[in-house]
Amino acid sequence: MIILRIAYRNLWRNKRRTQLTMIAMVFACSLLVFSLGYYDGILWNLINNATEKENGHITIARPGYVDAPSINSNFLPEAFFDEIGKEPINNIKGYCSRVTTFALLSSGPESKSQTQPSEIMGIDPVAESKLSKLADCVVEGSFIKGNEREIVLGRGLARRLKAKPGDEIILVSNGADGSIASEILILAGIIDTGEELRDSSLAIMNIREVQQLFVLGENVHSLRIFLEDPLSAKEVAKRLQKRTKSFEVTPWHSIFPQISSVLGIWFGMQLFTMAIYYAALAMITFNTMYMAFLERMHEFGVMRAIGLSRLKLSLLILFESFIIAGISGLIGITIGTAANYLLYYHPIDLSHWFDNLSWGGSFIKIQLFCVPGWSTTMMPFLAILVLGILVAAFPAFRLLRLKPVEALREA
Amino acid sequence: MYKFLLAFFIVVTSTTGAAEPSQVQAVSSLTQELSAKELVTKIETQYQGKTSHGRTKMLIKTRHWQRTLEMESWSEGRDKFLTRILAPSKERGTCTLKVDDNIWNYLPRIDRMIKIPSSLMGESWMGSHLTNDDLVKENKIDQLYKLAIIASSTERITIEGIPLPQAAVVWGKIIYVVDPQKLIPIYIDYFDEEGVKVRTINFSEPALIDQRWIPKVMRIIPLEKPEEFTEMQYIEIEFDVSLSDGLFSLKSLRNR
Amino acid sequence: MNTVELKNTSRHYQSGSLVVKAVDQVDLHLKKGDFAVLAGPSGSGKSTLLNLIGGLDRPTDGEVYIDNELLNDKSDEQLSRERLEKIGFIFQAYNLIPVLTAYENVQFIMQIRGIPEKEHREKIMPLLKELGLEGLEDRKPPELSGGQQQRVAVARAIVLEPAIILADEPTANLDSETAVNLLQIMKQLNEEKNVTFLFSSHDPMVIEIAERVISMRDGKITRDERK
Ligand SMILES: Nc1ncnc2c1ncn2[C@@H]1O[C@H](COP(=O)(O)OP(=O)(O)OP(=O)(O)O)[C@@H](O)[C@H]1O
Ligand SMILES: [Mg+2]
Repeated sequence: MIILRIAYRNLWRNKRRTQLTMIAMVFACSLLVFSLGYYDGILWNLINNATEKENGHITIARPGYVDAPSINSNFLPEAFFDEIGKEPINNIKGYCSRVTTFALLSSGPESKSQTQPSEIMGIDPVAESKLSKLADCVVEGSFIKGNEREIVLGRGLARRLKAKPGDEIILVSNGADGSIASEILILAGIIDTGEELRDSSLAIMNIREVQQLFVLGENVHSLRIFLEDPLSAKEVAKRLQKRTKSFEVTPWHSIFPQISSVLGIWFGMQLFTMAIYYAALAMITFNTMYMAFLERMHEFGVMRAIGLSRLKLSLLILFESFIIAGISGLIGITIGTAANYLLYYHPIDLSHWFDNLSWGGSFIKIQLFCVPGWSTTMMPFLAILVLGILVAAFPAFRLLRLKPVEALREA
Repeated sequence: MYKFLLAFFIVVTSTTGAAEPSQVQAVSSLTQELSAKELVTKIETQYQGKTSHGRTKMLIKTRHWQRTLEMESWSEGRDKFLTRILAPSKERGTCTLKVDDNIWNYLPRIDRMIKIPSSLMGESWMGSHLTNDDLVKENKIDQLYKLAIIASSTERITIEGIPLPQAAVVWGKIIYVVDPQKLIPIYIDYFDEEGVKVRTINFSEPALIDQRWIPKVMRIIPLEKPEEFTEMQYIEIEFDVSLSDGLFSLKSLRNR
Repeated sequence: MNTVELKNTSRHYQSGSLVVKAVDQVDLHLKKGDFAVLAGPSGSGKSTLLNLIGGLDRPTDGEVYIDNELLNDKSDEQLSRERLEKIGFIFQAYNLIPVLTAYENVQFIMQIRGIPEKEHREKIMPLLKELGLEGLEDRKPPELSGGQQQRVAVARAIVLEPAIILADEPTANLDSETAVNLLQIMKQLNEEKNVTFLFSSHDPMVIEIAERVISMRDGKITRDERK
């Protein structure tokens, strides 16, 4: 289409002005993509510091288990996979099997031993090392390595039991069949999850041993799904839930409502940032575009005189702006996304300079970490196209009402 | 669970061996004039043999499983009590010792003893519907509650018990129904602080042993899970047996 | 049959309390094949008259016909269409779209007219050749001389064979040799293709070439003579 060709050629007419406009647009767009990616990075940090430590992004359990855990609400992992089909979603990093139950732990010589109730969490050390950050929370000794009769205690619980790594820990409880379960364990390490209350009751063991001790066979109490993108947990959970009635699929949102409540604000903040960036950009580009527009009045008059309809003439100016915005937008999101990818794979740690922030049971690591995302890329791109049209809307409107005779009189 | 168990043992021990027939008669005729507290004390103390030795079956039924334990037990007075699991074989040798307000468990599989700290007295005993607390407090109703007769007939007397301020009791109220003729409990209802009935213990199958009535069966029903219960039944019991020295000691737990 | 017919046509401007009669009660007939010049001093109303004939401006009074069609009743969009199909415009300067080549400038009008792409070249190339623009077709206006630019404008005006070509002082920015040269080319087209031309000028050398001289003064035609 000739109008498009003219529009495109016009961009190179006043190269410097077009370049300046484009630099402004590219700058704003790439910075915006980067900023939104950075916001998401903070959000991911916030979410994953809470979820990936232990909980995972999605919990699969028998209905009601999450609210009222019971040793008897167990299932064979295969039963779930049979129902759902394995690997239904491509952004799944993996699954962790968990068994959770209660037991009395005691330590020290019999005459003055300490006894404490505790929540026993049976974990698969191989899966956990790949997915959760539990092992990173060990502050003394080591995590479960797969040796016999290992136990890891929360810091508070270890303190109450007056136990150090290497000490014997006695476990007493009732198995899933009501039978008495007892075992002598060796304290492998002490863990600090950052939640004092939890650390005062948490004990971690190898899931195989817990299953044996508590007569659970191969059954587990929950499967924890770890996702690449924590923000997708809700949709994924919804999709999974649609395919099963015998399991309850719980995204992290309902387990960490405080963090979930940030999501709405976050999106608002992103929109607000976008509005500010682009409002500034609109003011700059409108000016240069309008100047260029005024200079070309005579030319518009000629085009009208030789028979170009006013609608097509308006389109011309819209196209010009749209093309500048489109090209700048493409370059902008490319740069912004490249920066986001770079910082996604190689985050820069800033904790030497700043203290970490604590929020809602999680803490925000101070680091330059960005998450490239479809929406945080496309939103700025689409918005800059809209901006391109809006900036040209006034000139285009003027062209609709242009009187050729008057335009021609302009030298 | 422990509470009921102990209560049951005490009831069993006292009815079977402690009292003379003439005493029974005397007590029966006296009940009308007795105060509630005297009545309960009478029932409870007359069940006290000096010592006892017996065998019991405990049936635990929950939504998910059901199991039967067979136990041998010894008691001395109100405050000393020892029980040892005979069956199933997996748990054979598991012991519970109560001396005064303290409870120890012995686990033969790992050859270790564990003292139940006061904070865990509310935990289930051996997976049953009894708690450790029940073992300690069940036989002290007359000391822990302010008792009052709220209804009475020749067949049954209904006593209401409100915990005394200084008593660390988990219940808000109990209703203790006794048979004044046989001098045995019929049932006890337990209410929480809000006045909601949360547990019932039924006593049944009274048998005349050594000229005393004793209920052979005791069933504990937690009302929030009415399909569940723990039932205890005695198989045999003897009273005023001579018990070896140091039976109620930590050492004997391991040596048994 | 008249290609252009003005009946008692006026174009008055109201500026404050003053009425400027740029064109005042003009009657004019142009026949097919006319090669006419509008002569007159500055401010006499030549441009205004051309704009009225081309449908760029509307008369305040009287009627304008092109090919016996009354322009007065037509909407802006229809006038656009009319200009595209029946009228070729050539202005004093800056006639061309600066970002398009000579060829594309001519092509532009064919494209907006919706003529199939394959017909463009065979029509444009001979025309450019005829106008002495051979080899310059890929140059953009800034790379062409004033005379060359005006010849491209002539090519664009003529390529769709309009009923009339209106040229408002097409030679004003050219030296007299180039001006005469351009006029001769236009004259040649007029003779060969029987294209009707109406152009304005106050250059006697240009007026000399015209076959019909229409003189204007103060918005009125004072003389109209054929040679
Ligand atoms: N928009 C306008 N408002 C008021 N007066 C106008 C307007 N346009 C033209 N005029 C007046 O109309 C008259 C005719 O103008 P026009 O441009 O037609 O003259 P011209 O013959 O083309 O002159 P020139 O040879 O200088 O181009 C002039 O007096 C001019 O001042
Ligand atoms: Mg003029």
